[in-house]
Amino acid sequence: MTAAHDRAEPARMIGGPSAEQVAERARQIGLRMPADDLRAAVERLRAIGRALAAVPAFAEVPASDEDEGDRPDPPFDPRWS
Amino acid sequence: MAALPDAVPGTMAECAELIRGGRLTVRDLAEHVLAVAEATEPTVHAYAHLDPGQVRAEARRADEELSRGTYRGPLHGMPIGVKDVFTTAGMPTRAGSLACHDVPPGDAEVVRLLRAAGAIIVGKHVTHEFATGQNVPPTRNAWSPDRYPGGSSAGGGVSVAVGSSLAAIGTDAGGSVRKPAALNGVVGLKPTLGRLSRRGVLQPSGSMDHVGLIVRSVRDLPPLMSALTVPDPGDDTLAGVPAQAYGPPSAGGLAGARIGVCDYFGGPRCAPAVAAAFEAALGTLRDAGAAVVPVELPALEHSLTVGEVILQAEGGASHVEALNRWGADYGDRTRRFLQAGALMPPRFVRVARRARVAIRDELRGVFEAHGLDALATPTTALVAMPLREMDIDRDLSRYVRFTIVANITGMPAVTVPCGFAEGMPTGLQLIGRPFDEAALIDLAYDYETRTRWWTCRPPRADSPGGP
Repeated sequence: MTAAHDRAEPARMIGGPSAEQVAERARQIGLRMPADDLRAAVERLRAIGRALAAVPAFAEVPASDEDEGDRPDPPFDPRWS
Repeated sequence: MAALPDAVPGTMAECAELIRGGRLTVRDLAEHVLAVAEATEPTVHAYAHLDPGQVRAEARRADEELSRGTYRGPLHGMPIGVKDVFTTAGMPTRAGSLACHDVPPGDAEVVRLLRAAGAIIVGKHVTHEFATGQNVPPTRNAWSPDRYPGGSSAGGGVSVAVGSSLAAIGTDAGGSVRKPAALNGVVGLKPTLGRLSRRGVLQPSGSMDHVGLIVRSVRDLPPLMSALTVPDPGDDTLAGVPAQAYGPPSAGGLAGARIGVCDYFGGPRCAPAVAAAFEAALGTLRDAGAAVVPVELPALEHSLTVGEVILQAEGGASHVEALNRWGADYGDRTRRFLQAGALMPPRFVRVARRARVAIRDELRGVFEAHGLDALATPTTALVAMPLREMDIDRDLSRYVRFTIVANITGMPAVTVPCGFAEGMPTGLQLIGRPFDEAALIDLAYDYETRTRWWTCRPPRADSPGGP
C-alpha cells in the first residue's frame, strides 16, 4: 500500500466501513441485531478492511463497487483447464 | 469378543479383510468400538450423539446380510461416525448449537451413500458451533485431555484416534478435517472442491466448504472415496465429475515424484519442533526417490486474509434468517462472527474473490512450470496447545494458515502423521492437482509405509500408548 494509494482511497475503504455504513448494510440485507453486536461487527470489519487493503487486488476493484450491492460473481472453478 | 488384529489395530482395511473371511463378525467389531467409546468418552467427549442400541441393531442386520451371502464391499459393517452437521435419519442433528432448528429429515447424501455401501453410522461427532471454530466444545485432544483437539471436525479426529470409530466424515472450510486429523495423529483428506456432495450438510460455508474424510491409515481412503464419489443431481455445487472407483494405493508412488516446498510454510510462522518434524518428513520423501523442489508463491502472503473474508462472508450469508429468528440461541462469539460475515461489504468480497483467482492461477503456474505432483507443507504451524493458553482470536488463524490454501484453490489435500513435536502429533500436508485424489493418495501411502508414525496410539487408562 503506497501513500499515493492511501490518498486516492476514501478513508472508509482503508479502515473498513463506518458504523453508519454497517447499519445501512444490515438494513439492506434485513439483518436485525442489538447495538452491542453492531459495534462488534464494525470493529471486526474495520480490522478486515485494514488487512484486505494490503491485498494487491484491493487496488484493482474500484471503490464505487461498494455501492453496487451484491452483484453475483461467477462460481469459483477449481479446475485448471 | 473377537480380538482385533494387533499389528495395525483399528484400520478399516484389516477389519474388512477379517469380516469378509468370516474371522470377525460385524457385531464383535461394533461391540469393540462401543467398548472403546464407553472407556474414552468421559475424557474426550468425541460424540454428540451415540446410541449403542441402534448400532447393535445395524450390526446384527449387517451380519444377517453376510450370512445370506450379501457382501456390500469393503465398508460392509464398518463403524463410521459423521460430524453433527450432516442430517442423519434416526439421529438428532444439532450442529453444536442451541440455534439449530428446522433440520430437514432424512440422510445427507454422503450418509445415504455410506449406508448403501454397508457402513454402520455409529453416531454424530462433536463439531464447533456451526463448524465456525468460534466456541470451545467439550471435546479434548486424544493425546492430552488439556489440549486443543482441533476443529471444527473435532469429534471425528479424536474418535478415530482413540478408536471409537474407524472413520469419520467431516467438513473442511479452512482446514476443519485436516487440522483435527493432524493434531490427533491420524489421516485426513479434503478432496477437490466439487468432488463430494454437500447436500444435507447444514449451512456449509459456500465455496470454501468441502466434505472430508478422517481415517487411521491412508489405505482406508480409497474405499471411502469410491463409495462417495458419485454424481448427485441434487447438489448443483458438484463439478459434474463422473463416479470413480479408487483401487488400493500403489506402492512406490514417491519414486520420481516432484514435491514443491515454499518458504511461506516455514520460518518464523512455524513452531521450531513442527519445522523439525517437517524437515525430517522431507528427508523421507527424498529417500523414497522424490525430488523436493523449492518454489516461490508470493500470492500466498495474503491467502489467509482472502480465505477468511470469503469463508466468513459466505458463512454469514447463509445464517441471516436464522440469526433474526434465533440470534439469542447462538453462542456470542459464533453469532458475532456470522453477523460480521453477513455484513461484509460487497467490495471486500469482490476483492477477495479476485485475489482467490490469482492465487489459484499462481499455484497452477508453479505446478506446471516445475512439473510438480504435490506441494508439501506442515499441516499446522503449531501443535495442539493447552486450552487454557488458547486465544481464539489470535490462534485460530495460526492453525488454519497452511490448510486454508487448499480451500481457497479447491485443490485436494491430505494430512498424514509425520512425527511428534513437544510430545504431540504433527502432520505432513500434501496438496495435489485438482480432481487427482488418486495420485495424492498414492504419494501419501508411500510416505506412510516408510514411517511408523501412523501406528502410534494415544495413551489410555488401559494402555500407555505414545510415540
